[in-house]
Amino acid sequence: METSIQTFISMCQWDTSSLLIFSDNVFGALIYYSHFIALIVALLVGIFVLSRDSKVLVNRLLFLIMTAFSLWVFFDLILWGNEKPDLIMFFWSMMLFIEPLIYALCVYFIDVFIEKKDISLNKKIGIFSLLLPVIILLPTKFALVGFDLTNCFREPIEGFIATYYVYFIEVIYTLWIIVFAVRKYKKAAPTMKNQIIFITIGIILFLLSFVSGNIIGSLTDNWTLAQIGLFGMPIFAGFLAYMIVRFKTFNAKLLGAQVLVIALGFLVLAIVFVRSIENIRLVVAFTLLFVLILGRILIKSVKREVEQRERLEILTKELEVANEKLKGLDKLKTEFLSLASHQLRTPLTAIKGYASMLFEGSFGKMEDKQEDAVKRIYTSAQGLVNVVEDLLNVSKIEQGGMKYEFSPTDLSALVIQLYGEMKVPAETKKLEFSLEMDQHDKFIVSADATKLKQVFLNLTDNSIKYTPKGFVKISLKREGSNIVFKVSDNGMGISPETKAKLFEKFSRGEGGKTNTGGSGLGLYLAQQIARAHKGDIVIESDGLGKGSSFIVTLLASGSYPN
Amino acid sequence: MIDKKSKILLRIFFFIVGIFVVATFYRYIVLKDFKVFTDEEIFNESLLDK
Repeated sequence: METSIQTFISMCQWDTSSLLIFSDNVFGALIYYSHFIALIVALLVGIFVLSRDSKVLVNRLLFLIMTAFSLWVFFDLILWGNEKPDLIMFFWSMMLFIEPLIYALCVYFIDVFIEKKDISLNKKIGIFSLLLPVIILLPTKFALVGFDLTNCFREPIEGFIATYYVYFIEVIYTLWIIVFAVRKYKKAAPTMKNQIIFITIGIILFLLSFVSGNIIGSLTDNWTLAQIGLFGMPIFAGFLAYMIVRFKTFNAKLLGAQVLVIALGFLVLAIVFVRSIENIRLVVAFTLLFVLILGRILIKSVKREVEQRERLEILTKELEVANEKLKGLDKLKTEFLSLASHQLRTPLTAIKGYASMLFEGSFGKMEDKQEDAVKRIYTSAQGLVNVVEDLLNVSKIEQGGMKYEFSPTDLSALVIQLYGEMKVPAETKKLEFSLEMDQHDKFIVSADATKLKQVFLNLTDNSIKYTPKGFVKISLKREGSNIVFKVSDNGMGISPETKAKLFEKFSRGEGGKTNTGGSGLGLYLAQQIARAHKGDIVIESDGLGKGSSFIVTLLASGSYPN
Repeated sequence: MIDKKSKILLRIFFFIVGIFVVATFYRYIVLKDFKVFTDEEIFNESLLDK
């Protein structure tokens, strides 16, 4: 540097800095507080997020943003404190690059946060190519024209890049973030909408508090006042970190309360260090504004929760009353069912009995036509008896009054008997009816023989009923400690939807819609009885028209259900 | 995670950044190659203002 320039510099009476940043050139202590708090918090936030999981891209990006921001704050402090034109020229250039880089990283960050995956290569090229003119022209006069000594302000004269281009791309990046967030918000699920709003507001406030120094400084020409923006930085940085670490358990109210407490802590801490009453006023005014905004959000949120809780309490009480009523009605229904069934059974038995006596000729020989009509009366009465029997059993099960008499039972005898009984109806339909069982083996289970036979009978009867032609096969075999009774056919089959609800009360399969006479309680009863025997019934069917198998699994003797 | 192409892109980007940061450092700090504007009249006025 020429001697004349050195003379000019010495005439400006700038203080000599130590450690690049400490000097009397910094005329307000607030500048150190605002910068150091922002720098330390940003570094801590970055390290904290990265330490949670360094492999997660969104964590890495926030770490990069916080590191770049810390560098920016430190370089800014050098510009405040240092008196050497060469250092000022260099660090001013660096800030010209770091500032839009932070914006670019924020665009990258919000995309990854919302989409939960890395952005495309083209998008990366799009984001970072905007920075290339700044980087390439950094050492040229397009960034900084020279150093201005004419007014002792320790400032360079900015070129096209610094004056226009950097601000231009910062506006582009900000608009990019807003447009992206709005588009994603419209398509997002309700639970994601809150996250998008919070992360976007967090980033925009972060970037705003970042440039607020320049905006306030340029508008008011008060560069000390311009420092208040930096106080907001740690708050929003912490907010972003919280969002990415805790977004899975996102709770706006809890988040609001925590942010408020942390922010108040920082602001009160700042007051402790600020000596000038003017600066204290600034910090207090900022604190007040912050408390008013977040406090209002929190009060609204708490009010809403109290209202919801009150409504929930009223609903719970109403539900309790409704539940009691329902229980009463259910009991009445069961009692009515039981009573009605008993009342029905007596006349039905008489009808069946007299019809039987009629066609057996107890009251004299009848004509064929008369005999046929009486047989129909008998069959219909039998069907009605079965329905009444089912209803009675269901009401017994629901009242807990179903009695089981368990005793060691040989299922082979029971199944042979069943085969004999069902052979006639099967052959009437011209079905191939077969039994597969090892005649020499014993299949002893602890069972109520009558009830278990009812189960087997029900399943076999269903199979015959819903198989128009082909075969019905019953089998009994041993599988480990279980005894398995199986009825298979190549009949109507069962669709997966029907299969899922076939054991429900009053449920009918596809065949039930065409065949009349069933109560829709048979399978429900069968399963209840099987379960009372500590067994179960499983249905296998490949779908409609592909046949079906009903498999009853029972525990082989040795363990008697209580 | 970042794919291979993106890693290459980021390396190229940071390489370019590195080159121009070093160039800027060399020009301003080592060579001290920058214009200093000193208009004596304005300078004296600003000193008087001070």
